[in-house]
Amino acid sequence: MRLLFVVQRYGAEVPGGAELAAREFATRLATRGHEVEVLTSRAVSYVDWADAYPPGTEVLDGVTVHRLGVFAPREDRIFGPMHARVPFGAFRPPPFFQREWMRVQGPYLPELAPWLRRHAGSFDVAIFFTYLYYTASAGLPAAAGLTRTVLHPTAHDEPPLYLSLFDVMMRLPAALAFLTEEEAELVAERFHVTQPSTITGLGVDLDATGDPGAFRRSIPGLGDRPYLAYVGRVDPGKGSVELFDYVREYKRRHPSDLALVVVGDPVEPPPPHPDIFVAGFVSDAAKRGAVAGALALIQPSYFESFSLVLLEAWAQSRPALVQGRCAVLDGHARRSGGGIPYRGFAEFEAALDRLQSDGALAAAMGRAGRRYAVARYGWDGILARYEEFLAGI
Amino acid sequence: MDAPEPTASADPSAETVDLDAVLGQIRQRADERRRSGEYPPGLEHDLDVHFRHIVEHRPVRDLDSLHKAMADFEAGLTFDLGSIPTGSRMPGGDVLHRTVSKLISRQAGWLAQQLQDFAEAVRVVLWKMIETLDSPTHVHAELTAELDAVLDRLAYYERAPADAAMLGSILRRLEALESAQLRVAVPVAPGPVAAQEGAPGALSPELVAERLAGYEPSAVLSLPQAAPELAKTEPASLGGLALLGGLDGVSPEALADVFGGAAASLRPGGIMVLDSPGPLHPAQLAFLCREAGFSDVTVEWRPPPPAPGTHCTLTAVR
Repeated sequence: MRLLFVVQRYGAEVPGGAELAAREFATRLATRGHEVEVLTSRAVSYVDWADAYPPGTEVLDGVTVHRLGVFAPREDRIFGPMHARVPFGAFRPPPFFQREWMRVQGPYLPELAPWLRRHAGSFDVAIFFTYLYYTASAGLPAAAGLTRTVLHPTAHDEPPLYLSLFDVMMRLPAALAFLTEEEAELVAERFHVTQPSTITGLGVDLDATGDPGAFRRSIPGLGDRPYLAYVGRVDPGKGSVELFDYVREYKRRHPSDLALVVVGDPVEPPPPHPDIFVAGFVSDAAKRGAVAGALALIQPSYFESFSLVLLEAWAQSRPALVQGRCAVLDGHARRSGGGIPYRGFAEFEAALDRLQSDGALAAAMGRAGRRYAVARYGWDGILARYEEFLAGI
Repeated sequence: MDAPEPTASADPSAETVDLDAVLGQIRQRADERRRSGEYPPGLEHDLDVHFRHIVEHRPVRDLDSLHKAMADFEAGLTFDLGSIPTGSRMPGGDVLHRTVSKLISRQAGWLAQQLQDFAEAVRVVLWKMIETLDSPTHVHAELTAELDAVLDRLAYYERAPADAAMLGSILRRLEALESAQLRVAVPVAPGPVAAQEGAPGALSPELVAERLAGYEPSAVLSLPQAAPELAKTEPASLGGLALLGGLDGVSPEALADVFGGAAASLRPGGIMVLDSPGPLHPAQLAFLCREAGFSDVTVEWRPPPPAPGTHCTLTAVR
C-alpha cells in the first residue's frame, strides 16, 4: 500500500510519545514493503515549532519525509493567554476563537492543506497522528474525500478534548485507531463516533535490556542505593511535581537509603534533595539501564494515552507503581498484574512499603508485566493486525 | 541489584498476581494509618493539590444538597395516629378528643395508611430520579442523537468536495451571525463618515481630532511604523494615540508588539483609537488590547451594517 503519515513532528531527534509512535509505524511498515511517506513540520521543539530541520524532502530509514515550514515560531505571550481561556476558561469559547487558538497552537503550516489537496489522492490511506494539533485539524478536512483517512487521536482526558472544535473533526476520518481500550472508551463516550476502529497499542522491543551497573556508575552519589525510576518529561502535567512531594514526605516519614532517580528532560526540575537524583535526558541504553536497576518504575502521570515507558519497564520484568487516577495506567496495571495503581499519598506510601518489604511480590509483578508485554505488544503481531485493518477500511 | 534475565517467550504455566487482593491490603493499611492519626490534619489534602488543580476544569455534579433533602424527607415519612394531640384547655376537652379519636380510629387508620402508601411511592420515584442524575452515563438520549446527526452531516459535507460550496456558505453565514452579535451589543457612534481612499467609514483627520480631544498630548501614527515609533516614546507620556492604516498583512504577533508599546506609552486613563478594516475579528483585537494592558475596549461600526463598506473602529482605555 501507499501510505501517508501526517504528524506534527518527525525525526530521530524528536522526543514525544505520539511522534515516536508515528515514526515506529511508518518505519516498520516501510520495512514490510509498503511505500511510506510522511508529511510534517521542520520542528524539533513542540514549545515553539521553530524550523530546525532543512526544508524539502529527505529519506529516513526507508521513509520519504516531506517537511513544511512553519508560518512563524509560536510566541507564548500570544498563545499563553489564549490557551488559558480556550480549553481552560470558565466559559465556552466561540467557534472562531477556538479555530484561532488551534492556528496559534500550531504548528501552523500554511502549505499543509494545499499539499494534501494536491497529493492525498495518490495514497491508499492517509494516517493522521494526534487530534490536538494543526496538522490533524487542518489536514483531515483537506484529505477527507480524497483518500481513505485514519486518525490516531492519542487522546487522554484533558480539557481540550471537550472543545466543540473537535466534534466534527473526530467524525471526518474513515476509521480511528487507538492505543488502549481506555482511549477508545474515552473517545466513544465524548464524541459518540461510529466509524470502524481498532486498538493497535504500540510495540515494545522485548529483547532490549539495560546495564544497571553502568547506569549507577554514571550517577554520582547513587552507589548501591535502591531507587525508584521515573522516566519521562519532568513537568506538572506528567505528575512529576506531585511525585516529588510524595517522595519527600515519604522519606521524611521513613528515613532510609531509598532514592528517586529522574530520567528525562527537566522542564521544571525538582528542588534539590539528597534522595532525588536527576539524570536529565540520556540515551536509550542509559534509560534501559536506569529501569533495569530500579526497585520499580514509578509512573505518576495523569495524562497518558499509552505509556510506552511502562511497557518498556515490563519488558525488562520490572514492577511498577502507577497513577491510579489515570484510566490508561490503571487499565494496564489491572490487565497485567504488573503494577500497583495508587490514588493519593496514603496508597502511594502503603504500596511503596509493600514493594520494598515483599520481594517475592515485586518479582512476580515484574514477570506478570513481562508476560503482558509479550502477549500484546510485539511489533510483528501489531503490524499484521494493522495492515489487515488498513486494507479493510 | 541485577535485573533478572528476560524470557524470550511467555511462560504458559506462570503464576498470576492477585492485584485485587494486593490493592485491598494496601487500602486497608492506608485506612489504618488514617484512623490511628498517623497523618497530621490536612496532610493528604495538601499533597493532593496537584490532582485538584488538574481536575478542577472537570464539571462536578453537586448532589449533596439533594441527598440531604432526601434524608430529611425520609425522616418525616411516618404517619402515626398516636402523634395526633388529644389535649385541650377546655374542661373535659381531652376526654372528648380521646373519645372522638376512638370513634373514628378505623377511618383515620385507613386514611393514614393511604397517605403512607402515597409517600412511599413518592419516595421511590424521587430516589430513581436522583440515581438517574447521579449516573455518570446519564444523557438526554434524544437530544444527543439530534446533535450527533447534525455533526455527522457536517462531517459528511467536509468529506464531499461537491458540497464544499454549500459548507462554505454555511461557514460564511456563521461568521456573519457572529459579527451581527457583536454589532447588537455595541452602540453606533455618531460623527461624519469621511471619505478616504476606498474606505468610506475610515477614521478621518477630523474624527481623529474629535476622538483625541481632551487626551493631550496625543499622537497619530501609521500602523506599519507604529512599533518602532512607540519604542522611542517616553513611558506614560501620551494621553491619546490613534493608529491608522488598516491591519491587512499585520500578524497578531506584530499587533501584540504595537499594543504593548501603545500601553506603555499611554498614561493611565489615556486612550488608543484604532482603525480596523483588516481580516482580524474585532473581538480578537479586543482580546489583544486587554492582554496588552488596556481595560475598557469598545468597538464601533460606521456606517451601521449592513451598509456596504462598513468600518470598524476600536477604542481602548489604558
